[in-house]
Amino acid sequence: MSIFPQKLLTLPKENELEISLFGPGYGESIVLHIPQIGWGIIDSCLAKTKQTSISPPLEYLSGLLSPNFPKLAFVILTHPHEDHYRGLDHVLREYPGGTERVCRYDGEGIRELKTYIVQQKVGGREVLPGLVEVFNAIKDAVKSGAQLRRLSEMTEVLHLRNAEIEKYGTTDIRMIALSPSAASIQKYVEMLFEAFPQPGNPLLPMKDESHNLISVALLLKLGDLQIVLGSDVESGLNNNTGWRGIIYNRDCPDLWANLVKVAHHGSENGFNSITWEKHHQKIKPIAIMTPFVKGNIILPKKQDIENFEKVS
Amino acid sequence: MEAQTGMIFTSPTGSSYLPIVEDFNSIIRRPYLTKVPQLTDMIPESLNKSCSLETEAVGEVPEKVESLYRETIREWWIGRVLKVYPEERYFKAHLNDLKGNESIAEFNIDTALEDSSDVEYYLFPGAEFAFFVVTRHGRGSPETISRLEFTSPYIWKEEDNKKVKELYRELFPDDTPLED
Repeated sequence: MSIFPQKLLTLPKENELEISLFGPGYGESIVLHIPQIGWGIIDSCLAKTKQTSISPPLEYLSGLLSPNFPKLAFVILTHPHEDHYRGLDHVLREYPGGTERVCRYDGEGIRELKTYIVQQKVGGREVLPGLVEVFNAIKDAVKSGAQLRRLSEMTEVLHLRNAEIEKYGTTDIRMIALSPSAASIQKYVEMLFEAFPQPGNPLLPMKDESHNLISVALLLKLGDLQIVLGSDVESGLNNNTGWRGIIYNRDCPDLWANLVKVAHHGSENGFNSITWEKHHQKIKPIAIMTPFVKGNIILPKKQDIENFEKVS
Repeated sequence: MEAQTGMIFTSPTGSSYLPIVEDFNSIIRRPYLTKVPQLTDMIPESLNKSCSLETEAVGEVPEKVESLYRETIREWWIGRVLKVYPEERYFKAHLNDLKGNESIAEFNIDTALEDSSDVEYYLFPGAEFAFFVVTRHGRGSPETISRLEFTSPYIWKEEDNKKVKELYRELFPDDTPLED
């Protein structure tokens, strides 16, 4: 019995693109149905019910697809923040159909990130709770046959040429990662090394927002549709990082969009005006976002929403 | 019941408070960062003399030292730092009380930490502290004050590197082990 109302659990048609965004207050997850590709999940979160916590993307697909579960075409972890990875291990382990491809940033610094988590544990502090389980679930999925794809700027998540879509015709379907840039990765690795303790010195955690440096923004192109999914990419420290790093990359495709999943829960530091000029150069895009509610940190703020209303 | 700092912990509702207070004491690590009351001028002259470094022989120590002040904890919370705003000199924290009530508060950094150079060691998202509201009984009228006590940061030891290697192997068994 799904927690979602039955009227929401209507299967899209084969030729329909469906984007479902889940934001229970703390956390974000996107479930996509792409014609000729199938189902995919980007990030995960947990939502509290009266009895327990559930993973909305898993719950949604379980209610929608039961009892014939197709293989998930892709599962993507955009970056190591709790509100984006919580429950992803459940998705990978419990989705009955299995997963064809797992994508995440897995380049330079991942071993250092793991070391950092372990060092903090030795010092009695739990940072990034549950991430070890997610990493191990990804590893197990790969052992079970899933393909691991490492994401960074201009890498492909999927590319289907000459897809035949009913009533639409023949088109290419492509999803690429727009970030993280090499400069962002380098900065991230430096920050991890700075957090490594030396004997006699205090063990300090790195700033939580540092993990946004390796956040993966995605561009989905399907015929004459373009969708930008901004993850938690921030505006950028310079022209080589964050959104600035994306738009000043010579290889970056046009970023006009029909729909934009607003980056970083609509926060001020996720908004880059030049990027948004590019988003609405052809058409005013639909902007969707998830809230972030933790303590008295509530995103987006009223002012943030007003800013997005002007450009979307 | 008298605790090691000379404070008296009592509960407005009775003694059931005490085990938790004792437990709480055990999780607070030294050094306390908040201002400790200056007792020098309140210590009896006889005791002062007996403790003087210039006196070789320790004088007669009274069998029972009368407390010259005591503090009653009215309320306390376990706090967790959410975000630090160093330029504005304040931080936001999440507070939990004994009944499980949760709240959010903002604290002035300069009031919370005696030494501003301690900021990077103690004030970071996730740092834990205790926040007390106490009534101090001493000379004159009782005084109600608040106080923050931060847990000390963990000091890294040479042998911890070995623990990291072991734990890394345990948590990520398929990875290449960390090198020396």
